[in-house]
Amino acid sequence: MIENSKVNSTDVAIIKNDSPTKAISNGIELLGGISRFIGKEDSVFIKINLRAPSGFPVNVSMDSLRNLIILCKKAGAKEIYVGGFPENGVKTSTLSSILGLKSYLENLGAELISLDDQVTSSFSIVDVNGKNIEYPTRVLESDKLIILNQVSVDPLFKCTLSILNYYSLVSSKSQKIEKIIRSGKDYLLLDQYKQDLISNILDVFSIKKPCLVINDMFYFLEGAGPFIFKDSSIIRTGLVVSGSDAVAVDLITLKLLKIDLLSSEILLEARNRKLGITNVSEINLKGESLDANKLIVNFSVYKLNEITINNTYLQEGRICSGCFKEAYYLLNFMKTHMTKDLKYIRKQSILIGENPPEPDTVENVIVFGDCALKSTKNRDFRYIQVPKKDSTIKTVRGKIKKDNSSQNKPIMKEKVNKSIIEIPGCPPDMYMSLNTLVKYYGKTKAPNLSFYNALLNQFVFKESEKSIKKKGVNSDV
Amino acid sequence: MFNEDLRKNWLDILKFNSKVSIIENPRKLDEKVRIPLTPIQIDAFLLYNLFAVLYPRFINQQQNILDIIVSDFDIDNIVFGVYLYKTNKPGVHETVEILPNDLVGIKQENLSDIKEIFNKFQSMILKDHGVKINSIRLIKKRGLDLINSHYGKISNSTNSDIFRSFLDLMQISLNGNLLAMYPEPYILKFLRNNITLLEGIKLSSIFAFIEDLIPSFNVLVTMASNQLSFGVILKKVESKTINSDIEVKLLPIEREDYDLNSYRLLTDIKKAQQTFMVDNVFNINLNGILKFLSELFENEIPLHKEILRLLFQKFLYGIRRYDLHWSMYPKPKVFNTLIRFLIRLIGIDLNLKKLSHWAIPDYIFGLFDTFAGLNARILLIITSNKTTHDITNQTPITILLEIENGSLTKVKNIIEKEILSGIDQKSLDSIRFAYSERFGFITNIIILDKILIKTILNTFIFKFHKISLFSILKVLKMLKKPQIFQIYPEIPPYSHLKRKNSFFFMKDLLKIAIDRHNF
Repeated sequence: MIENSKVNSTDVAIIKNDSPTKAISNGIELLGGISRFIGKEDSVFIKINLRAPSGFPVNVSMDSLRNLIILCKKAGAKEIYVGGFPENGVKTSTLSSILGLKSYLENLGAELISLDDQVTSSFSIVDVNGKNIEYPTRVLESDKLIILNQVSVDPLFKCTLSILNYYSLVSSKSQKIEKIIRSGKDYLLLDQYKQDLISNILDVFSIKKPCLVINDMFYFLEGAGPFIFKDSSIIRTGLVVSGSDAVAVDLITLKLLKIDLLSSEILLEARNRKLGITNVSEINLKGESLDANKLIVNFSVYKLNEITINNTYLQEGRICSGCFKEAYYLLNFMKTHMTKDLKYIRKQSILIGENPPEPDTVENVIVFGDCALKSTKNRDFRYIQVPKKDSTIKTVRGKIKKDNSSQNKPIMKEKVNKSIIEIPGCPPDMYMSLNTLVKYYGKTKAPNLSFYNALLNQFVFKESEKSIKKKGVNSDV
Repeated sequence: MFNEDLRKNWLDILKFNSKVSIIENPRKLDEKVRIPLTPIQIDAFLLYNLFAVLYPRFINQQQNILDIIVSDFDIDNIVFGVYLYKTNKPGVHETVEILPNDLVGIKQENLSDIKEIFNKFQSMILKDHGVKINSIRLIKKRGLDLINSHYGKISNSTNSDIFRSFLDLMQISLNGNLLAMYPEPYILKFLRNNITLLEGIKLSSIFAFIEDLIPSFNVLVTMASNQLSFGVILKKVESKTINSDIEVKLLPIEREDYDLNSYRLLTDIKKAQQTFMVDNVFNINLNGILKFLSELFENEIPLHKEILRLLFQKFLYGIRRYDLHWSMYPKPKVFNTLIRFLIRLIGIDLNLKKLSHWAIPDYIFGLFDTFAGLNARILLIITSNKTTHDITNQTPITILLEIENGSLTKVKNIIEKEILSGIDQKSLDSIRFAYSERFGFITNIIILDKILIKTILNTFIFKFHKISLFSILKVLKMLKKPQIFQIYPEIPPYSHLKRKNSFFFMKDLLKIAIDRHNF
């Protein structure tokens, strides 16, 4: 691991203040001042949350970022780069134009780096534990790496830790977890997806150690997060945790949220790999008391059926964390943006995971993810019984003869159920799922979704139009 | 201590109120008084009824009120005057009795505990006069001086000036705690907390701004319920030679002259239009309005986004209940079945009676939260130059809106011009950066021209009876013109509007705004 800090890595500062910018400055001051992290003529890369074209707190607080840039400039930094890969394949340039980031950062004396722009950004292949990881050369070559992380609730890891933030230094493509079934191991039972994800996150994290890590939880998004949904809500905690050891900073952040190390699989694995300090007694806490500032927050739901949506019935089979996360986003999206559509749709069932129970109705069945698709291939809901229509001549003849027998006993015919929406993927992509739903329901049944999808088309689909069959109904990912 | 006009008018009101209970038909008294603090002449019995209905609803439901005038300075006993109103009917002031100033001694330090003051006065007056007071109004001498000074303007000012003076009086009194009540009514708390959201913005300036925007009009607003029916004639006269003014008249709507239907709406509003010689008549069920306002005032400020969502839903529900909660004359074209049918033929469903009140707030709030964020700072620049947005050539109104957790927490008027000195004022980038340096990161800048606000007010309020596809399309097309409206950086919904044909955009919007099922 490449080290780049002069500061004692056991120091972690907890700061509480009325101003978010002062909280960050005071934290750095308590750790010895910015000059202990940044030297004269250093080139600095600040990794921020740059998730989606959305407002705060989906992305980092711009006031905090501004403050940090000014501090770096004061310390004599020669170049300050800011960046990170947005989620779901959204381009940094698109996100920048929607948020007006590039010019704002330029005015501050920093540069927004589009890591996804192949013309301006190059990647170095770094070998970690036998894996070749495409890592941005700019970050590798920067003298100092700082992580400015906005802390919110997270469906998989309870909250968005700095180590998770770090992971988006590699592209969405590199972040994708391939489904590799090990012999003799149950992929779903062991939640191999999450294990592989944690392993990948820590592999990436182990490439270059940040010199300064700031977990900005001054405003904390609770409820449904880390994106903004109907059940999301911001609480003002006034707290910022900073230090030079990301693992220690994350551990203290979790402690503030009353989460124990043993409940955090990612920090446990970091402990196994000795990637940082995971023992609180070894951490030199500065500033506010840890015990006196513990917070009570609403974390995101642990079970999908706790997300109650109008007219929607969820049937959950055995599920991995990948499908859980994407389904969590999809369900929260439906709850937030599809109020009207759900009323018009009247009834829809969502089947998720391996071997989900039969849907309540054969109409509007959404089969979500490869596991659900494969395990329900020959299920009853795939076929429907419809009365076979007699030929007109036969019907008329029957009426002339006053023969009611044909009416009493309609002949039933089995047909393929076309009211099924198949969303493949392991796990399926959120934006593609929405596109598939729009194609199926159409503007009349889903006006809200259709309008929203048109907005998404501006920055998501225009770059990667995929063929989607109408009615029938599936999407190719 | 009191302005003579104020005192005389108030005593006239009390005198009339005391007669009401002993006269068989008080309507026939035909006496005129002025609404306190305004120049508006009103039928005394209508004012009596307004007090009888509105005071218990919004201020206090109990009988017997005590007014206490106190000094602003710290002296031994700060009480300057004690006035006891024995009320037979809650809210209807009939008699006034002056009590000695030393009945209960108060010091400045006691003012922080108004409950204690109330308890002392209540027990003392019960002991000495056998009357149980149920509320007190504490007015500081400075507040009274402001009222007197306001009254001095009434005889020689226009209605608009007086209304502005009244708004100033209210803002200063609430900001400076010159008026306190115990038990504190929700409306007082609501108004005070709302005023604290405004930083550097005077209510009178907001009024002047709106007055400047609205066109000439002559409307009658009738409100009726089981207990109270009245009409308000509002008339704005614009002239090139003199300043415009707004005339306000309040008059009783006699049940004998106008029939009310089962929804408490006038059955023949055309007759009302002809009788009062107005252009439009808005006919509103008073109960609905009172209920809505009661619920509004009970909320904490800043309004939580869920409460705002609910209030918005109720407001839209009110709009869709045409003929049930409200109606107007001339009847809006969009409510004509034949016109709606013809519009439907081109795929547009513009049926306001099917407004999706239950879904619109969710969708709008969802979009706003997503694209602006739960915490945001929005800079609103209102220009009045029709040709360009060059801010150097004009004096725009610049307002900063601060939003936290989806709730509006501050509205600040920015008057410092030096913020923009030395920067390229044609570049929205530079403007945003300059303001961000001063006030924190500005999420978006919205620049809009007054002409747009005027058009929106005309389309959706003053010429609502003429609302049509074309008028809505006109608004949408104006939103696309950078010299009239701009958002920087452009949020996806606005980019979508700019890229899409206005007609098809409106079609999509109406699918979201109007229920699919008509029957």
